Amino acid sequence: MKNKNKNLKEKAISIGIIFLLINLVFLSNVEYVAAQSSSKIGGVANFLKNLIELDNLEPILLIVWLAWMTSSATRNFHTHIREYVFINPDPTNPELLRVMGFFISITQGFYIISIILTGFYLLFISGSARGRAKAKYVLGKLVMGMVLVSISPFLLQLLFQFSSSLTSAILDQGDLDVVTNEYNTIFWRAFEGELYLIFPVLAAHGRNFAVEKLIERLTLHPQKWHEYLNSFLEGVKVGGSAVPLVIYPYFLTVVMLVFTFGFLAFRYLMVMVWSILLPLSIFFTSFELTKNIGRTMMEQTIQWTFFQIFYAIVLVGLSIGLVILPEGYKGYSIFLMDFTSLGVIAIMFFGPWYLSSLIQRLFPP
Amino acid sequence: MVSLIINTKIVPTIKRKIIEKKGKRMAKDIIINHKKGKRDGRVNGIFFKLIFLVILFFLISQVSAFNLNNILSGFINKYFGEVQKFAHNMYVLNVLFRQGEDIIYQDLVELIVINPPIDENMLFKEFLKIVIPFYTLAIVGIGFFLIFISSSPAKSARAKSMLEKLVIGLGVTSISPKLIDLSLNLSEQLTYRILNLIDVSVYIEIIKDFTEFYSTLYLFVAQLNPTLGFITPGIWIWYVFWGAFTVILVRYISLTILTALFPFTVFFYSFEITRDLGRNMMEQTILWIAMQEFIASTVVATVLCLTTSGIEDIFNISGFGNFLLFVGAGFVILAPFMMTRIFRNFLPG
Repeated sequence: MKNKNKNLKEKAISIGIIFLLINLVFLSNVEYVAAQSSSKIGGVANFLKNLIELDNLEPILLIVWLAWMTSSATRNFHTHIREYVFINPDPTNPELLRVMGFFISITQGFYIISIILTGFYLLFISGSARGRAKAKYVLGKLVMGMVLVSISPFLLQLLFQFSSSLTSAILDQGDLDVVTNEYNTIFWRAFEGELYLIFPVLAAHGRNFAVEKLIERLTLHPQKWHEYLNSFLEGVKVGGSAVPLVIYPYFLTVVMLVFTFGFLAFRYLMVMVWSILLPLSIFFTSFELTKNIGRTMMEQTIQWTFFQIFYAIVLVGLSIGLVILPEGYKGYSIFLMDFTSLGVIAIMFFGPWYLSSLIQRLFPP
Repeated sequence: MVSLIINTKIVPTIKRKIIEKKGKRMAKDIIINHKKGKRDGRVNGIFFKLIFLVILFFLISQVSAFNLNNILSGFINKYFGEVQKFAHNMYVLNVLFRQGEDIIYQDLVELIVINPPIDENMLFKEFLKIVIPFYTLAIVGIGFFLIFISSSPAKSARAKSMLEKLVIGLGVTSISPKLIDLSLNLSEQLTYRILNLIDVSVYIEIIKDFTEFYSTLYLFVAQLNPTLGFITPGIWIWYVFWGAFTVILVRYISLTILTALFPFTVFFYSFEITRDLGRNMMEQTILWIAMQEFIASTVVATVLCLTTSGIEDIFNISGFGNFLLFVGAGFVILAPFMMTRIFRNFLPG
């Protein structure tokens, strides 16, 4: 009996629920339910309605991709900025030593031939005292060059240690978080610019719809997710056609990425190239005919190694400058940038270049 | 004892029979109940599924203004439309961006090491034919000046030094095919040795990874918007292949022109008036020949950067790719500009 009653009860409840649901569908359609946004069911229904009503999810996917890129770039920059500035090849690495060893072996062959020839000239050919003196000078230079070439990995290590310790001393003078925060804010603003171009309604609603805020609200009140996402989707409904416009702020982001990460990676690669070629640089510097090439190569080695010092100076300068900047210089203009942001970008791009240009033509001719 | 034995043997068999009977009955009951329950459950399941489907259809039809046909046809149309778009994007990717990448994967070393053969350079042979009469004319002219015209010893000394340079120039010009061949061979061998220092397949794998990543990104972004797909990830694939590897072929063509002009380069370098022009041309010839060593060193440095320091993850920005490879490709593109800029005026004036 009990079982029968239970079954009946269950059936009655399920039929009641179905009846209610059908009522919900027939009597009050989704539009009506959606209008009751104060209730939870209304909010969810509204969200579903908006999601279904979207013609295509393409703009949203695009935004998700851009958000993913911006988020990973900002996180990466914030976490690894010191490593980026400090990074140098390791001259004690066996692979690097093997590659350097190849160039050392090439140059040593030339050095030995040159030393033998000069010695032969000194012993048997030279007639005048002036010629002998010149030959002796060249011989000394050659022997010194050969020694320097042989110890070039250690010279490189010394150079890197000097540069790193100087960079470290400079970087300790400022708070890098100030710079990374400012830079990451610029990244997010560029992203917001993209967002507003795709979905002008979001722009019309102002900065309340910014993704950062959306995420913040979602984390603060997760139970109200449908409300926030719903309001987001309301804005999303308009303006899928504006997707091509996103190219401009996208390029701004890409340029920023390339000029910060790309340039630091480029520096690392350049230091690696000139480290490999250091034996050749010393070799070319020893001979009169190839002195100009050797000088340029040595300058390049030093210049690219010291780039980290210039980067450190620029970063510390920015961190101090941003702290002591008077209030009231913030106002959004194109792509949500202000003068401070543009200044920060310009200094990050051109500051190290400008400083490094000061040490061109370092060696005397 | 006997009774006990009987009891122990018989009683359990009776008990067992009773239990078996009970068990069978119970099992029957259980099976019947289970079948009943199963039938009920199945009926309930089907019932609920039907209801759910009805609700779903109603919901969808409500949302799409009660037009079920529209939704189905729209869905099918859209689905096929998307597939069509995807196929088109695949075609564009393979024809426009990735065509010819197999050559790079298979013959990367040959591509870097390649040099124009001087024997087949018809322009060089023509220029050689043109320049020798010029030399003859200049030498005859200076000889005439020395014998008949020169009055002061300073002028005749200058003419003599000019004559010496011209004779040396003529000698260099006549052996120029062998000279260029020697320097190109030397450069080739050195480049080959430099590239042998590392495993080139690592570099090829890096390029493959880069291309695969950007191809996927292209397919994704182009599906959203073709223009954006073309301009953003598509361009980066071009940047690696048709940027970096075009530079290698640009070097080949530039070197063909510069080696063809080599007789004139030597001729201009021999004369005082045209010495600057000759020096520039000579510098360019040497730099464009040595560029392959520089490119090979770049490849070696890129591989070393990625394999020795354990920092490959730092520059790897998800959503954008590895910056080291990005920069390695850019380095190859920039190599001609860098070399021609930073190594200016290295020859004595």
